[in-house]
Amino acid sequence: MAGVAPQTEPALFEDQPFDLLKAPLLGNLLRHKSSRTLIRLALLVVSLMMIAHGLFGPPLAPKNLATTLGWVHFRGFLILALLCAGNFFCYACPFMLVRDLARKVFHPVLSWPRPLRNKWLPLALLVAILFCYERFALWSKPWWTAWLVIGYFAAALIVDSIFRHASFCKYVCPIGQFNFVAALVSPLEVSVRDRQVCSGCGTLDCIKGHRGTQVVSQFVSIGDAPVIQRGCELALFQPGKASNMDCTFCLDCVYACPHDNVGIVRRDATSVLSGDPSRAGIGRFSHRKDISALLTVFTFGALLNAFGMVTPVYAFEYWLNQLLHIGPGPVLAIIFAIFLIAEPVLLIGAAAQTAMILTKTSRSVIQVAVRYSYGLVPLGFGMWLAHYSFHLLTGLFTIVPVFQSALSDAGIPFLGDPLWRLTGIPVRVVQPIQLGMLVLALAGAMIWTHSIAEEDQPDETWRAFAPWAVVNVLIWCGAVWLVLQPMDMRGTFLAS
Amino acid sequence: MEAQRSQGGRCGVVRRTRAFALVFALILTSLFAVGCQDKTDPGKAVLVQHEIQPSPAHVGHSTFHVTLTDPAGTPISGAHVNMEADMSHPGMAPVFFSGKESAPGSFTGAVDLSMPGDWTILLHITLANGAKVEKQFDLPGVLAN
Repeated sequence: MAGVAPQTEPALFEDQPFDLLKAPLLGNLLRHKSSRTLIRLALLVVSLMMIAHGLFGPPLAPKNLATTLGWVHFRGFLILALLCAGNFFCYACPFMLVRDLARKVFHPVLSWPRPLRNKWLPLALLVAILFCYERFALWSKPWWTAWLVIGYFAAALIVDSIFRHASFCKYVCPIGQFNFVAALVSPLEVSVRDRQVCSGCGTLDCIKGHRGTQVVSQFVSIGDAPVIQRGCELALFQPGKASNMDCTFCLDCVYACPHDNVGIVRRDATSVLSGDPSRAGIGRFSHRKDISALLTVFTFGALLNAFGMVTPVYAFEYWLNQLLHIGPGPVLAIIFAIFLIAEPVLLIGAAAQTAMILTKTSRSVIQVAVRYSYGLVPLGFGMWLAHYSFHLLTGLFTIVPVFQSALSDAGIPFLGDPLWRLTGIPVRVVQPIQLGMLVLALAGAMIWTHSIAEEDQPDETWRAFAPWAVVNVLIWCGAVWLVLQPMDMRGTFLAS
Repeated sequence: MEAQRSQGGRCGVVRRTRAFALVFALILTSLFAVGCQDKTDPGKAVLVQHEIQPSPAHVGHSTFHVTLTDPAGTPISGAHVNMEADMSHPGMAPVFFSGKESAPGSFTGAVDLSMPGDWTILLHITLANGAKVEKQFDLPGVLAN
């Protein structure tokens, strides 16, 4: 046995990060490729039920599966999953199941157009959805909610039937972009377990995938061999991947890696922005104005979306209407412009300018603004979390009678009469939870911003940090004020 | 031979694309057609007039008056009227209350609206002959106190 290194017992508390794929039961389930198909199939069935009930069920939103599941439970569980784990709603996305089926018929050959390989298009779509949600009171319209879901399926199907790879997820899907930004604060990340293993890897299956044996007839080669396992369709080469941005948690890289070297590992959320490395499939965050704009809209859009459901918004809208003599569409457009353009430009621009003066940096305002805007994400996440948790927790059990009612409508009343008195947790209990979430969000934003300042200006960290800390506190005050307002949902604001 | 094979392959793709587009268009058209169809009201024989006080409605205590008549204008008495107030947003707690008959065909119910915004009032009416009628009214813009 000469020459063999003596084996040592592994340390009892080895410094290995938690890996969900190694967890008993759940890890085994997730590693199994058919689990993903089954979960997507389940969500496809739920989506079809939502569509059917939205189109043919009762038109009153609280009695309909499309609106109750879509605007209360789906959004609430999505944000909680992002908080507690990662982007598992993209993992379970039913649109991808339909797309994969369609790709058995269509074999796209086109690449997504180069000018659109950025976040500007999905950013515009995200703003459009937020605008339509308010303008047409989508939360109260099951029929239109059903058509929104159908539109999503159609868009995913059409885009990915024409263009190769996951073009829809990476360059179109507004929900996906929301999830990518929110997942920056998630505690889990799909990542390599041991970088040494990757450095010795010659196949690169995690990005390229692998094909079966090439099928060759007696006379002629019949194209490429079939793909047995895809690699990452979002161009995230695992050894160079460093954050959850653009990661759908589809686990194709996990299935593809021949060395079983990709896991879903716990990561330190505070280190997400450290070093500003060139990230696989993304580049440097500090060079990506489109991503910076996306997460700025994510943050200020959280305030806007909550502002749309409190009493003061109606007084403001009515005042604008009387002042300018314009209809509800232009009034709402002005409010969107205030929240998504004027406010961020003012706050972020002022902070960047002040930081530049204090630190005497020679970079442009845009460069400083882009670099530090990433620090706002925890605040935006906290506001979305507080908002969606409110609806989820206060209406947690409403899905029970709606489901009973939907089954009755379908002629299957085996769950009995709908228990319409089931609701959820009282507002007086939920509100302190919301405030707690916002406190944590402020702490997260401060830590992130400080870590950016530390990296960016090691000698003058506090001078670089101070203006951004003020912006964080201002946004936080706005968020707290919104949470303390009484909820007031109207689709007819100018009638008041 | 290669060219023929390639042309045949293209034709196959075109055929599949057309078939797929046709099926997709048929699904969409049928969904539109069914979704847009007229939903007939089974309670046409019962006419309902309603009124809420104070008007416009505010959060807190309000009184809801309902008058039931037949198409000839004759009051319909002896009915049981249960009322339900729902917010336009799903996931919010509904408020249940019942109407008491104060005069033939005239019912009054007290309701505590819990938050400002758009509400919908549902009337679950059981007529004296046991027939059930459902009616729905919008109560937009309930004001905060």
